[in-house]
Amino acid sequence: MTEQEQQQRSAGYWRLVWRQYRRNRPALLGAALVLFFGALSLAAPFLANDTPLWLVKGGKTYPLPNVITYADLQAENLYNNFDRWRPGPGEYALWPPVPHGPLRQDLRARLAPPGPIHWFGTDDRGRDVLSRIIWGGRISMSVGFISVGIAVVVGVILGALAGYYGRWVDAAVLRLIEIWMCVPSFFLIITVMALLEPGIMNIMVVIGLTSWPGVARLVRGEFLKQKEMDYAAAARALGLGDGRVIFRHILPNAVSPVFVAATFGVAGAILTESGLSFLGFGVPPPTASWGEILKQSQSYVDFAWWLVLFPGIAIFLTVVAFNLVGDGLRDAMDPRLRQ
Amino acid sequence: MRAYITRRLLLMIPTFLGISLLTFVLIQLAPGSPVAAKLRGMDGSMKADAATAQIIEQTKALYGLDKPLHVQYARWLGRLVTLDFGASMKDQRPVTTKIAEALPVTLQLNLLTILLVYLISVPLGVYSATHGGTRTNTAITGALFLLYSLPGFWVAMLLILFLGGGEYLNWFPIYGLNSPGAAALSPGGWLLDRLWHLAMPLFCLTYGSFAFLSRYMRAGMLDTLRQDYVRTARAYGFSERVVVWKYAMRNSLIPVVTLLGGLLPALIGGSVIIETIFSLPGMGRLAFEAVLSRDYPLIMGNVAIASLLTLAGLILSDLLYTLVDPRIKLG
Repeated sequence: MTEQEQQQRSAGYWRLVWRQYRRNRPALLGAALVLFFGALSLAAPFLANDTPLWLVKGGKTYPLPNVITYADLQAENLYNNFDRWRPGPGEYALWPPVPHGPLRQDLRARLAPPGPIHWFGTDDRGRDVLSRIIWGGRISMSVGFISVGIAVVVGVILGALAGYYGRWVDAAVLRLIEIWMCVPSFFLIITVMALLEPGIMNIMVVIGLTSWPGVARLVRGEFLKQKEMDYAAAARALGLGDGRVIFRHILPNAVSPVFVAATFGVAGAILTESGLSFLGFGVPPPTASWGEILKQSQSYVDFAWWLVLFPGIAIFLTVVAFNLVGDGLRDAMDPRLRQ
Repeated sequence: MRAYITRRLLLMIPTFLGISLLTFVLIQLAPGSPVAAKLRGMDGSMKADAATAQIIEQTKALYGLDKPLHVQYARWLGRLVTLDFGASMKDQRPVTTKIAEALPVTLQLNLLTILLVYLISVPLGVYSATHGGTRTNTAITGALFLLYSLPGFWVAMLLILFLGGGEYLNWFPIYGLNSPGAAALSPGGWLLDRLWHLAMPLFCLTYGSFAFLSRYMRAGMLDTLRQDYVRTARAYGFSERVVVWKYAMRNSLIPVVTLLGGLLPALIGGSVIIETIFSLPGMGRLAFEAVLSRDYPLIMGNVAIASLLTLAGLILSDLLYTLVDPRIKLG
């Protein structure tokens, strides 16, 4: 690395990456999609809910009853029953764009095809599919990000130690990676899921703990390269402790490939989660998740195309989006392609 | 060379012990284990009826769950070494027999998958290395990228819906390895019948890997084409086809071949989802059924054998690389 490059890096490495990333139109589209799905998931309670956003009733105003529970509305047993409430004179309710809750069953409208009331149709309990897809995004996104977060933390620590210290530490971590490679991971995940209490936390932890070896290998490789460089030697010569050299000096220079791997990892984790839910080992019902809708659809696959199509497209678009971002990041961070 | 082989084989020992420890942790989650009872809360998801009580007693006896941990581990290590995993709780048949029946199905399916993936990705990668920047190339790369992001089980569902004799076309069978009367067919007919049954699962297992592998192939080819000996070959006046497909090909295949090691776990463990959807009696479906029915001896036997076979495969592929490319540094 020349002096000039070093300077550029510290001055505005991320600005440089962004300048390169911006030129990549598919990657921009991917980023937009990621933001879109992220916003959709975050805003689910305001987008798809059977509780109004604003309620004027009996001369009183209730702001945001969908997030705040009001004692007098509760006493009237209005929560969960808002769809039966009819506004009297002077009363009104402002509804979210999709006025259906993800768990709200409407047994008179079971397996209804897409129409003006249920835009994406309903499932076999009369639950609104669009609402379930919007809420299911929360599951996919949180599993994606948190399990990758776990994998990155474990992978970075083990990879850094292996690359920096070498010798027996390296040998031990390499063995650990080999062990994890040998054990069939999806099988391990369903076994643990079946034996533990089903729950989203367990899914995140188990997916995270099976996907760290890739990160560890990347970080180890980077550390092997970086620790020989002059700046690392200088940091050591200044008498800095190992922890400081590893985390403050080398890690920032080794982190780019981890970002790329993590982005692809989110896509992979979302796929794994939907596969788990599809097999019935995902978040326990009635919580909405994309794989769970697909699992249901298997019983009605011959006519209920909306149960197959929409959740599938949701998974596909999210996974494509993260993969596009990962691809774009990889190209943008590759100094050989930089102009 | 001999020193390298010995070293590699000796390194198997710590990995083997690691696998035994990891699977041993899994045993602690078994019904009847004190750890599992603690994790689940007092009664948790396990209802204390007579049937579960029996399962709990059986697993306790099988793994000696009432003994101290080191005794349990020694027993488990003994089982791993002798490949004795007891009998399946469901039909009382030995676990190893059941796995011996399932393994060939998965191997067959995944060997075909790997073959197809390589047969398609290698030419695609070479094409994209030699035709960089053309519109066809961009289109192919884009299409492969989209395929890579399609969830396999969703594609399987769509295939079954549209080609598997639902409301639409009835082109392919949707379950099993052969038609019911296939045993009476001639060998050729039997083979065709088998391939006909495997067509849709094979498609679902292959399409996702094209993008990844062809990308590697492209990178390898681009690297090789920059080398001096390729320039020499061109200077001799060989046609571009001979230069690319004969001279450059051999060296650029090496990085792609080394990827085989990464495909091994899937080769042996199978795909739980695809085998389950298409009812193929392989390792993946066996695993799924074992987990569904909490058939503990089968679960443990399956994880253990799949891991050990994968380990053996990894070592083998490591040794093979040194044969493929003598330049690989040994030691």
